[in-house]
Amino acid sequence: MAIVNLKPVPLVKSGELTREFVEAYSASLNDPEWLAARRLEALRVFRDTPAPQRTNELWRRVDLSAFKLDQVIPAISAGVSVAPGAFDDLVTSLSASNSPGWVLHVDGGHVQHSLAPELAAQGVIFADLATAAREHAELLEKHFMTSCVKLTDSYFAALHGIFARGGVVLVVPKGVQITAPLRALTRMTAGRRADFNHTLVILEEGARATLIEEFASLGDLATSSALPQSMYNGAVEIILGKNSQLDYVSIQDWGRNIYNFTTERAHMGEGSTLHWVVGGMGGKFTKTLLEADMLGAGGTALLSGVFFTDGKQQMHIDTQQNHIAPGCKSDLLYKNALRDDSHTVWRGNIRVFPGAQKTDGYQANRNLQLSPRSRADSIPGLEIEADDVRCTHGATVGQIEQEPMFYMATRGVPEVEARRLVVQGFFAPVIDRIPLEETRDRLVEEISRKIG
Amino acid sequence: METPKWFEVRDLHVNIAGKPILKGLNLSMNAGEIHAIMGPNGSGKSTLAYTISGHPAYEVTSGDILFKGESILGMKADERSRAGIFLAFQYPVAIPGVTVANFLRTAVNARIKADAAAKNGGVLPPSIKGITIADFRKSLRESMRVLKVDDSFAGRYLNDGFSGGEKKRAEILQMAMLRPQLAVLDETDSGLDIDALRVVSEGVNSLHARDQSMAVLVITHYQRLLNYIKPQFVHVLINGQMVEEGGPELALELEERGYDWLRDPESV
Repeated sequence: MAIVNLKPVPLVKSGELTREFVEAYSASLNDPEWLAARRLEALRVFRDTPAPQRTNELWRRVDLSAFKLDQVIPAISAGVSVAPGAFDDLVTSLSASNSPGWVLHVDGGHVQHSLAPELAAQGVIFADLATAAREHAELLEKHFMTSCVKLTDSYFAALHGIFARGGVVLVVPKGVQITAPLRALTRMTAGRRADFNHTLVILEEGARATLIEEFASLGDLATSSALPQSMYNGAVEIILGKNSQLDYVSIQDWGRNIYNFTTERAHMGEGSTLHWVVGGMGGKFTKTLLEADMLGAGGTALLSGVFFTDGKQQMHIDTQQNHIAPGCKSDLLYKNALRDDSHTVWRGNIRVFPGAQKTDGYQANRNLQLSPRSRADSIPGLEIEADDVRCTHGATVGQIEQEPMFYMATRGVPEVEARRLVVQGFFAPVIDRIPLEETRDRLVEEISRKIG
Repeated sequence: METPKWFEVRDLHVNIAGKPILKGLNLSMNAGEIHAIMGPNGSGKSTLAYTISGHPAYEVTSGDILFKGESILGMKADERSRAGIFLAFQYPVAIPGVTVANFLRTAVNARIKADAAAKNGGVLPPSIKGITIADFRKSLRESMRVLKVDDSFAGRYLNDGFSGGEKKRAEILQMAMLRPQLAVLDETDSGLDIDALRVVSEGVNSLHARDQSMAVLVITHYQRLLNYIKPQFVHVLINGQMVEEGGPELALELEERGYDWLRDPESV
């Protein structure tokens, strides 16, 4: 397929999102045939899927009127101009981090990746979507947006299917255990961008891995909200084989010009273990759908989240713990701290399917309101269709209490420092679950910066 | 000119939620002295401790508290602490998610920075970064050894899930690290078994031996603690006023006779 020189055009401007446009996009990426076909399928689904309406429960609390899909441009060959060496410092720091594998993705496109030869020799795949789609076509064709995250999941999932690009594919063969964390860094350097980063993780039976993804804006974008809006529309697919174990950490620290939409799902096999930590610090607006499907008996899903909003940030997180097989355990702990006029909505649901006996499900959402103008909506839910189960949930919204503040004051800790300690302490049990010190430190630093 | 007292409370009246609790309390201490305040429940002992420390809910309606000749009433709790006043709480407060080490390093650094700023016209010189992690760890380990606490203590969340004895040890550990010039121990013996009581008392005594000018105000319901931390002066607080003062023998007498013989007949 010839590389077509594609003009950067805004997304979904009336009539622009045509079959011809998508074909040209595919051609510009040198897609294998199966992927080109899947993009067209995604286009068909997208056209049949209505844009989010507030009449839909999932979008009821969401005001997207300021979001203009036709003002963002997907990264296309002619649209991204990455100067050679522009990200050398990121590459250098990744290379120096002793990580056995890393991927760097900037402004919606893949930049570079690396995998330790001894892991490659064991059959580990670690690359961006385009490389994996070409070199492991059969495997990718089977799994890419077919059963885990599906094109039909939502408007944004379908849109993602059309433009998915870059990101990271990790496949760990049977019995291979990778102890050191693999890393994926995603950066945004410009406004008016659309990034369709795709994460696909497949652990075969008995495999083990840790993947840490970090998303951030660079330069002015990190602090200014006056820049033209951008969109991140990501999908995460995690497929865990029997008795495999994945530690997956994803930390988002976007600039304030970014609308952040993600669809994230794990399919968990028998006896598999998933430790999934999500962090949300940045972005103008976030809507995340995150789901753990326990398809095999005896699985364990430990789901942790830290979210810290300020200014007028909005963060909407929907979680679903689906106990489909018996004897699984899920434990969700999401913590939000809110400053200024920010608003968070957590909607969590534990669903126990018929026959999923001996389910042990728990969910807790804790909110720390640092400003009386902030708003935290916490909506837990249980749907139980089996009888021998233990499911509990808790949701709290609280403020900083006076007695700990006085106690710390009697040790000479100034009020602003004491507040910092309370907020850091609030998050600490979740941050302690992050297996990489560098990531923990960066998150603590960002939290500290946000406290002001 | 007369040298000011190390610590002095003058005709102190304190209200809580509009209700008078301290009604003209007087107390005077010299550097290095150990005083005990004893009294029945509800006499105002803890109110005095909290008021000295600057709790915002305790309203001073008249009188004064002077530390080294200066009134501290205009100072906030954290400023009083950095000036050298320490309160060991009867019921220490849990700070979830904040380790003992992290908390203490923050507190030690707050002192270093406030001192440096005070010497520089109120502006913190950028060169002052606080104590190094290595120096801090060394100092913390030494203090923990004195108080016979395990190394793992430093990594635990402060007072969160601590036993009664651990909480009181943590209080004295903080005192050791912050090196106060006036330590107020509010019912430090409550909830302690005899072994823990001995360790905590030995801790206080060794700190007093280290910083000999430190004055110690021991507030207690029972004489038991005073077998271990020996005061030179014993005061009896009843109904918001000091009603009796004596030497260590007064504590023994109170143990024997109770408080009723000291009560104002009108208030009984």
